[in-house]
Amino acid sequence: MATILNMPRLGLTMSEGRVVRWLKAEGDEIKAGEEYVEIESDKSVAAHEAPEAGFLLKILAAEGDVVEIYKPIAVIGQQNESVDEVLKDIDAPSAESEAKEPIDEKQQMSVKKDQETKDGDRIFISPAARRIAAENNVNIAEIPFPQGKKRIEKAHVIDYLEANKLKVTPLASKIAEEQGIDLKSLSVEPGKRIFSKDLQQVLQTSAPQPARIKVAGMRKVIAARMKESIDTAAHVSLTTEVDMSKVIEMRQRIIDPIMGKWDVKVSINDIVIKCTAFALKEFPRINSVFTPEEIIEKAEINIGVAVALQEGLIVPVIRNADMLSVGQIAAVSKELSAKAKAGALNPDEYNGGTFTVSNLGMYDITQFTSIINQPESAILSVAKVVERPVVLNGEITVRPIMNLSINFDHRPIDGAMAAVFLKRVKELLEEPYELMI
Amino acid sequence: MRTITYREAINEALAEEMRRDPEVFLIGEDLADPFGGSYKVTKGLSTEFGCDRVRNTPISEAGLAGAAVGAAMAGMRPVAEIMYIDFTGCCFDAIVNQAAKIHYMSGGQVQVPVVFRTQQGSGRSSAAQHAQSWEAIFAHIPGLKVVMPATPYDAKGMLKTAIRDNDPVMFIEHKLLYGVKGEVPEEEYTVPFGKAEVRKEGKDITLIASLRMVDFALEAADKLKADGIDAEVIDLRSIVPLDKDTIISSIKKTGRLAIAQEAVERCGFASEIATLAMELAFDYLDAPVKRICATNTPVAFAPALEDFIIPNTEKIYSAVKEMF
Amino acid sequence: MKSFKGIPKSVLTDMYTQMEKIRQFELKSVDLYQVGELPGFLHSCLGQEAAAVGVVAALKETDYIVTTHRGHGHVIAKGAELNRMMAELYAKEDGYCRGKGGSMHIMDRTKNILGANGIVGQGTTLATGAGLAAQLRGTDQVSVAFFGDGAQNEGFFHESMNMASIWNLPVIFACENNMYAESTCQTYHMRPDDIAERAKGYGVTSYIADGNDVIDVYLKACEAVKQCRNGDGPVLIESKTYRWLGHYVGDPGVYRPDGEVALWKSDEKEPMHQFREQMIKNEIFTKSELDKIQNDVADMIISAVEFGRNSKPLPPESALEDVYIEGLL
Repeated sequence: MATILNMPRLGLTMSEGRVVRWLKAEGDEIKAGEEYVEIESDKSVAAHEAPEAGFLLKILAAEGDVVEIYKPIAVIGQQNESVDEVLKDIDAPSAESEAKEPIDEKQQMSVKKDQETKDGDRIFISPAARRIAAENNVNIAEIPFPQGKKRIEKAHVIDYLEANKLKVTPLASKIAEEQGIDLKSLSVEPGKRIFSKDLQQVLQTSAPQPARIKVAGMRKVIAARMKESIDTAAHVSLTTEVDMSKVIEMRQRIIDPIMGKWDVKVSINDIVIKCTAFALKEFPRINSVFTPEEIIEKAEINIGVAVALQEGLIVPVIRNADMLSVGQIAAVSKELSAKAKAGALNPDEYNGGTFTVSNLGMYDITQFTSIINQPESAILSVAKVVERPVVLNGEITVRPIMNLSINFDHRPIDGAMAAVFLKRVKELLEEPYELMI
Repeated sequence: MRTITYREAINEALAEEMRRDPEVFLIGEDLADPFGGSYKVTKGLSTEFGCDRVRNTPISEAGLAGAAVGAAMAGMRPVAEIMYIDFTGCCFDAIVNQAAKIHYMSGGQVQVPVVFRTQQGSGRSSAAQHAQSWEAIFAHIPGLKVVMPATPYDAKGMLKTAIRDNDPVMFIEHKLLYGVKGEVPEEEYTVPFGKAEVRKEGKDITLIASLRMVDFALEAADKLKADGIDAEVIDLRSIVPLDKDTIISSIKKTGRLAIAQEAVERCGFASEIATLAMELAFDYLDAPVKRICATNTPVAFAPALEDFIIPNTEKIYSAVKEMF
Repeated sequence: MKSFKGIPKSVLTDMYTQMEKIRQFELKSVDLYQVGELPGFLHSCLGQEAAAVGVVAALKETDYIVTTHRGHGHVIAKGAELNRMMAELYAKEDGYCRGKGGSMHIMDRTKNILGANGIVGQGTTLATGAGLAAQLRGTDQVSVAFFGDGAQNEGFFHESMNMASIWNLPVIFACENNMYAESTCQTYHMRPDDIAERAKGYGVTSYIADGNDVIDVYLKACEAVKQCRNGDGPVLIESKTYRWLGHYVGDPGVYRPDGEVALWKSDEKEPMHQFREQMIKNEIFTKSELDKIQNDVADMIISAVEFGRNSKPLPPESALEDVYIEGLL
């Protein structure tokens, strides 16, 4: 029958011993009383004699292992006997020590089953321990209850504080101080040292954060449309300068009558729209839609007027602008604009446009280009009217000058035509009486 | 320095004070030579000072104690001996109603500079009526001072202080300490009241004791060293007035308090000290205060029973160990 | 210089003045007590004036007295100031004991009054101690213990008589036998008819005096004092007397037979009347002389009451003073 050989107690105060050297190998025969292993206790190294004869069936504690007294170090028995049975009944140290690791620290400190640690909510803790805990902002409930004790004592609280003290490298400590980082806020494994690299994430996430807006609704549409337009149309831009003195003069003349009739203050832009609509009559190609198969020159001249919204833009359409007077254009424009800003436009109020006018003059923009409003083929960019010195008849004089740009799709419209069209709009603006013809 | 016995130290104190001040006289039973006192403390004194100043009385505790008080009120400095503290029962009135209160009741007009020398304690099978320890009873009477010297040095120094004190003093000796030897200087010295003595410094527990318990506590402290417990032993020696400062600073240092007391546990002086610890050092206590006292019984005659009743080194040692 | 039975008029004047002081002080304090002006207990010695004065008149200032709860008479006779006594009864700051003692514990160290004592009979041991002090010092001081018939049954009395006797202490055990120990009459609480008998047991000289005849008490006290000063003490004097009121003020004295109080208050037995009659008859004093003393005393009493009433009340914290000489411990 195989039997277990245990770590012998070689001295009164010995509690554990180290296996220094096996004098026999597995399978060797051992005589009773023969020395079979060297053990080191706290006092000295000594060879231990086998208590019985047999064969060394299995070594359970390797050389160098430290084993508690009375715990197994080997199995002895008859030659080639199986050790399975006998091993089943014991806690073989080295065989299972891996399986036992890692030992949960909390478990080590866990209390005996019937040990009283508290009465209801009242944890048993000494006054001194309570004071130390309070001084260090420690929640008493977190302190592991000392095994076998009647109450948590001062030393236990101090130990707890030590164990949970933050370990930080000098560099990390310096960085933390400089950047004002609270080391306690870092999620680090308890007991693990904090390095400077651990602070990086904190530093990064603590830079000024950009605002993040979800792309949805109108923004999504605008984004798609704009990109599509750029991708499809062959955008070309032309600019001309317009002397607006006659327009300005005319506006002065008609501002009050229009107010009286249409209850709207006529703007430069309304006059620009009128001139543009008039010019488009002469240049149907500008007022077209391009498809790979055909260019559709639109029958109506519906001019869209870009209106900036809080978030996004919308282009309500002045239908048949060529047939409207400046006053009418002003009135419709005002109404549409108000509706647009109120989000109250009907679909046929923003659909069906054939040409778009975008005016950024009120924002002091002196020149800009726009993206063509699909499926149109061109868009007019109206800039600010600026008093400028110009040369007229060899003399320098000051005139109100406005930059006018057209962005056109070169697929249906050639540069020359666009230029001539733009020139025509300029002419009309510089000599508005031509609208009477 | 020479070593003399506790008994000799007291004898010297009496002799020196009587030489120093003609108003000092002794009154009590069997004091005079050749008998020299039932514990031989006053031997030689009547020979030197005469039988008027070393005045034997009949067995009349009430009479002699009262007379001592009266003589003190009339300007003398009597040292009255009550042979056993157990006999103060017979003259309790003179001590607690007269000596303790006359200064107060007279609004400070009349002083009572009397010393009542007596002895207490057990260990020789002297049985219930000759073995009690009553310091707590007298500590409870305002107006009395109560001192308990444990060494020859303290006995001599504190008796001198007692005799020179203008308040009434209960000077409590211990019957088993009379033969104990200790170092006592030849030169004049006194030991003040209200100062405890740290007999052994330590950091793990404050162990307080008086009279014979001091030696037991020191022995227990020695044993505890092997267990890794470093006890601080304090000899109270002055009960009223009490050295609270020394006691409390010690507790704040160690966090634990044990009191060894030869007197009965219930309402003994240890209770007072334990309460003071709670009141003045609550947040420093790491464990409940422990008292190692005589059982709540009279003292039995049989040695085995007496041993069971009275605290000793082993009991103090075990009790302290349990506190860790 | 007039004299009576060898007693000079000056001494007689003193004695009468003291008796009047005691009588009027007691009457007044009983009144004040009964209307509630004085707290605590009051044990009146009304009726026992002669017993007190007779003994004290035989003493010198350096002699000691110790008395009992019924001690106003003795301390007044020994020279205690009425003002300070009254202030003490009023529990005021100017009282002898600063409110710490009250009626039962009046003390005046400067007059060698070692106090009134509330423990019956204990005064005998204290007085014995004072006598021992005198003997040790080698002075001719005498120490007097006043006590009643009840006290002499206490062990204190016997132990101190015994010790005083073996040591020849100059102690006068002055017993005022007023026939009652609280409510127990003398015929019950002891076998002998006279307390003076006790002295025989200790081998001590004794005298029996008519406690209501101040002259008789005085003459016998003088004998006792002489004996003590000679070193042949102690001496026991029994003065037969009677107290008018109960044990304490408020005690109805139901234990006394009808007519007994009246008998002792009658002119024949009452001490003041006896004295006045005697003095006038023997032409030592005129009535008006005696009346004048009486009136003077009346004024003193009125001042004393005023003094007591107007004296400052005690701050309560003064309760913590005088426990020990250095303060509180």
